[in-house]
Formats: sequence, C-alpha cells, structure tokens
Amino acid sequence: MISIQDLTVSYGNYKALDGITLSTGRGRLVGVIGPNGSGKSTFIKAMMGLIPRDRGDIRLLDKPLKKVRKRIAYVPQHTGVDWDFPINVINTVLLGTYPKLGYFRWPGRKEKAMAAACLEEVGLQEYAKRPIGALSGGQQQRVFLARALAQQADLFLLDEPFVGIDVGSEATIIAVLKRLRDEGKTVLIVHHDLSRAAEYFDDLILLNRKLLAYGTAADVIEPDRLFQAYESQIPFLNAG
Amino acid sequence: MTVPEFINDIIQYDFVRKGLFASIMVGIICGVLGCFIVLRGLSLMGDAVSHAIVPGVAISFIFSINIFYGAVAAGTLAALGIGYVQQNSRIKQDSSIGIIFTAFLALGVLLIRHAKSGIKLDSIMFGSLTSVQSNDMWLTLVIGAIVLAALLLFYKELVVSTFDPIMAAAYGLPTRLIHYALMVLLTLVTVASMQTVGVILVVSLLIMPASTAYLLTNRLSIMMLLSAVFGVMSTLVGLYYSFAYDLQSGAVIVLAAFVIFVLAFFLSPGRGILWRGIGKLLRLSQPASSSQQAIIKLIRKRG
Repeated sequence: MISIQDLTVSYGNYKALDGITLSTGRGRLVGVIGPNGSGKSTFIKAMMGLIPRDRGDIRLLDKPLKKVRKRIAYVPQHTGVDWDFPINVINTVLLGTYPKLGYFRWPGRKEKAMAAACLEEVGLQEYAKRPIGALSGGQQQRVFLARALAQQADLFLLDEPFVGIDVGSEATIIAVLKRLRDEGKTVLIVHHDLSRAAEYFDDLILLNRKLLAYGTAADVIEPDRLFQAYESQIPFLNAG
Repeated sequence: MTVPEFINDIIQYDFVRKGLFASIMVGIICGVLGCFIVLRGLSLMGDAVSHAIVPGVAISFIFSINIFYGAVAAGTLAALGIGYVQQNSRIKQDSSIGIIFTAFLALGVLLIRHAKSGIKLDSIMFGSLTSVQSNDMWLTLVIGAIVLAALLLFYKELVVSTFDPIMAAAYGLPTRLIHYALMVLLTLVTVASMQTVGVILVVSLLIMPASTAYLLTNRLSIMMLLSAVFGVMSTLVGLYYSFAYDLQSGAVIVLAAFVIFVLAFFLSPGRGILWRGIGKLLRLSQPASSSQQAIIKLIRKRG
C-alpha cells in the first residue's frame, strides 16, 4: 500500500526527516507518533509531495504518487483552513466529490446524495445548511472527515485530527476510521497523544526525525523506545 | 444636472452611453473577481499588480501595440518578481510587494512622459469616464467576458484552493499556477478599469464591494452577486458625478463604495456594530433567566 524508501527532507540546514524507509499493508489503521518537532506532519506532507524532499522514493497504493492522487483523501491540520470562508456544511462535504469530477464538470444529483450520506455518517445531517464557521472545532473536524469519505478514497491521511476537539467527536471519528479499516482501506493518522495510541491504532510509526520504531501498537509502545524518542521533552528523566 | 436630466443625456449622447456601459461592466468584473482577492488575502498583492501595469501601458504606447499586451506582461512580471524576491531571500511578502511595485510604478511614470502620445498620466492614474472611446468599450467588454468565463469555468478549483489550499494541492490542483492565473486576471481587470477608476484606485473597487458583501452573507455565490451589485452602484454614482459636476470619476467611485461599506459595517442584520449594540441592550433589559433568579433568591435569603 504505502512504500517509502530513504525519505529525507530538510528545512535549510536542518534535517527534519532523515532516511525514512518503511512499508505498510492494506487494511491497517496506522498512527504516526513522536515528540513535538519530530517531523510527523512533515512526514505525511512529504509523502503527498506537498513539500519538497531532498531524496526518497514514494509509492502509494502501489503506484507513483502522480497516478493515485485522486484515490487519496488528505485531511489537513485544523489551522491550515480558512474557517471564515463563506461556505456551508453540506457544500464543504461536496468539495470531496471534486477530485473525481475533474475540470469542467459540476456536481450533480449523485454527488449531492453522496455528500448528504457522508454527512449523516458523521452525525451532522441537521447542520447541513449552517456556515462552516459556526460549528465547534470537533464538528468541523467531523465535517472534514465526511468530506474525505465523499472522496471515496482508498488511502486516508489525517494530520492531527484530534487536537482540541470534544470527546464525542473524537469517538465518532475513530469509529468511522475503524470501519474504513475494516473495509480494507488504509488509514494513516498523525497523532500527538500517546495515551490512547495503543487503543486506537493497529500499527504505530514512532518518529523523531529518524524512524525509531515501526510495528504493531503493542510492540512500539514500550518504555525503552518511548524514552529514546521523548528523552529531550521529559527533563526530569534526564536529571535522574 | 439632475438625475432625470442625466438619464436624458444617456439616451441622447453616445459618449455618455459608452461611459455608462464601461461603468456597469467594470463594476461587475471588479466585484466578482474582488471576492477571490479578498478571500485569499491578496488585497495588498492586488494593489501592487494593478499599479505595476503602468510601465506596460507606456511601452505599449511607445511601440503602438494594444495596451492589453503591455499591461498583462508588466502585471505578470511584477507578480512573478514579488514571488521571486520573497522565496529567494529573507525579505517578507509585504516588503517584497512594496519594493517591486513602487519600482514598476516609478518606471511607468517616467516612460509615460516619454511616450508623448497624448495620453495623460492623470487619466490613467485616476480614471476619466467622460473620455471613454468605442475601442475602450470593446476592450472592456472582451476583458469582462474573459474574466467572467475563466471564473465560471474554474469556479470549483478556485473555491477549493481558496478555502483549503492543502487539500487542493493534495489532490493535484496546480495551486501556484492558479495564483498566477488570478494575477493575470487581475491585470486584465485593471486594464479594463483604467478609464473608469484609474490604476491608483482600482484596488478599492476590488476590495470594498467584496468586503461589504462578505459582511452580509455566508454563501459565496450570494457574496459574488452582492459584490457585483455594490460595484455597479459605486461606478454609477461615479459616472453621474463625473458628468454632472466634472469630478474625477475614480475618486467619486471609491467614496461611493466606501459609503456602502460603512453602512453594511454598522447596519448588517445581526452582525453589524449597531445590531450587536441593540442586542446587548435587549439582553440587559430582559428579565433574569430562571437560574439567575434562583441565585438572586439565594442571595436574598442569606441576606
């Protein structure tokens, strides 16, 4: 599904990612974890070619990126979006049908029905006509998940979807993602919080500029490994 | 001149009709394109690119080619130059804009002197609705058609790349190309607006009607419609005053657009400053809610 060879990304002289090599299988729910500044977001952005890389070969859905872009749904970080944009909830979900429509074709009855169904799946159908800016952070994140569903993708990439959202929204989102996994889709999530990592994900990628560990969640969540990754951010451990 | 007399003039005189036509067209295209300029946070960039076309206009006159080509070349070059300086140095975007566009404008001012073709710097800078010629009118019409067609054909792509540029890039939209294509449309609109508002003030006709509309609606299609209406209202006021009192049309248009903006800012239903003030007063004068009453009772009991 995803196969990455020697992915290296620099910001100026700073190596944000150094020689990442890994490959994942189908139908897995994969978490990308690591301390702040470890290159988690950089990793999925570079995977999608959204930022330039120094080197590295990337194949997604067993093909070069260019050929499969439209089969991938990417949900950006909450801060990357203009929430004051004059658009309502259902039209936001409808944007998910645009990649497959391509240029010069407008969404028709089929696309609108699909958008409505996707919105229902995240439980926000009664908010369809509300402006997107009037929703809470958690609801906005659910709308973006609905938009990703409307893309009918085979690979889902989510950048920090759980930051600053309510418990209910988090539960809804993880339930939908697990269902996608059960349908054989691959889901990759950048995640900031270790506490639920083992419960949410099948596999974990532990990053700190280099790939520190990759394997089943239970294997990766292991004190020595985590200590190695988070050392710099747990000062009291260093002091002892 | 009264308004009925002015309408009579429109019916009678060809040159007034041309001015009217140009005003309406410019009001519409500035209003519609302005929505994307405002939503993408490109007001300053729009200001820069519109000013930067001046040397292109001058060069077109010197070589007697259509100003269309010179203006588009200069505007695009300025937009690329701003991006280039910003990406290849530590200079921030606002400074990079300031550096490039003032250099272009200064060059333009000198070149226009040199062109000696009877064009007045004044009418390029501040607009002169009373001197709209047939070919100006046709140029405005052609540009208007190009701009509206481009916005309609690529509406989906513009919406996605404005609202969520990361998603747009992720599914393969050429976001940088879209940016520069918008800059080209902007230079076209500036050329079309030269006679009406002039290059110095055209940015306000791009920003003010769109911002006014932004205050009034949460739907992009309605925003574009309202923006076009406000744009046309402004240019018509400008047209009237420039014929009736011989005022500079550009300045009148901008002030008209500003008045409409101020009205919306204070009066927009539910959101304007005035309404929010009234809302506050109403809430203060309302009877206390049940929980508030419970607290008051509790305090009284204790007291």
